[in-house]
Amino acid sequence: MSELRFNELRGEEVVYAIHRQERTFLPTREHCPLCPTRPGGPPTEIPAESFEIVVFENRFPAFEEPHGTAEVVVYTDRHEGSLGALPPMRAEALMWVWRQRYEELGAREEIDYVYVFENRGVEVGVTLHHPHGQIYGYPFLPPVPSLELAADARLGSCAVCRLNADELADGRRIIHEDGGVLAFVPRAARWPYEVHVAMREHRPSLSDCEPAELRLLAGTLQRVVRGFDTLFARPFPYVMAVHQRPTRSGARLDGHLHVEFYPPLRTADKLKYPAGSEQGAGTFISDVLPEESAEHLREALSRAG
Amino acid sequence: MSDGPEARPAALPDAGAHGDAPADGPSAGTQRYGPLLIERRSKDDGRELIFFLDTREPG
Repeated sequence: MSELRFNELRGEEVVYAIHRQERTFLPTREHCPLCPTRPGGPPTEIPAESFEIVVFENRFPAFEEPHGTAEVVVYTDRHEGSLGALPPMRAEALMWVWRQRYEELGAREEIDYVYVFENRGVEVGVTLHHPHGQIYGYPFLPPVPSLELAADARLGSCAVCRLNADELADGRRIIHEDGGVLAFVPRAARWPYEVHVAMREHRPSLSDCEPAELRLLAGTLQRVVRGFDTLFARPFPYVMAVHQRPTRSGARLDGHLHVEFYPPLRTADKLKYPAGSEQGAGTFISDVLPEESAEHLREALSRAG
Repeated sequence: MSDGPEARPAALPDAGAHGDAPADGPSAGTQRYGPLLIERRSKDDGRELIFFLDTREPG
């Protein structure tokens, strides 16, 4: 069972999940727990010979009922691949899976925030290479969505709507645009190749999207990931964070569905480390201007197709 | 580039008698959600396992 302790100096919760020390760490392909269970082979987490998308409760959870939840979302029964390489229909189905889990978990009284995310690459701490993401149901409102709500209050309206309009008006940092979804390097990106993918219309969550918008969102996420992989001709590590309206009961909190990518690479073989200024003072110092990153990424997306 | 179409399970895996959803809707043990068919199971240790199957025809 995890334990929460409130860090008074930071004004935030810290989660102690000490059982996670024992979790599976970079197993060989033959012992991947997210692959199908093959006849005569070792049992995996998924007792089926084939599947499309599977969700299950994490064996080594950061949160457990009745104090939240931690789920694993397996995108495919193929061990190799990525979000960007999924067949488009599978990526679109994944949006529906995220939406179903958002609604079901968000309806639980104790869950204040449903957070869909993916860690990709050992550079961001991945312990299993099989294409998958995770969903945490937090029993409190974490700092980042709280900051987004504070931004709405400071600006007097939806901050993401405002930033979308600013990015469209400027245009230099847009890397992909279609009728429903916008992808850009934000003006004040903290990571060298940070990308935000935002719904053009004010959609608080996946549940507020039309089916066509889910399709566009899936396609844009795939384009961004393929562009990342093309940029340095290597699998591009990132944290992908899906931000939606908090689900805290009894609260009328807003949100605007958008997906943030935080890639740690600053060149093909150099990492951006959150170090002294970033960790001790909370101020990111970047070596690359977002306008330059956007130019590189536009070209990479164009080559990736 | 996509890595091409994946072989799709003909039904929810190992779902037995209720695995094939009839044309008029899912049978007991499954539910529909948008284009998805959902089947829930419990693992041996009690954890929930949910299979999602896309009911649309590829292409």
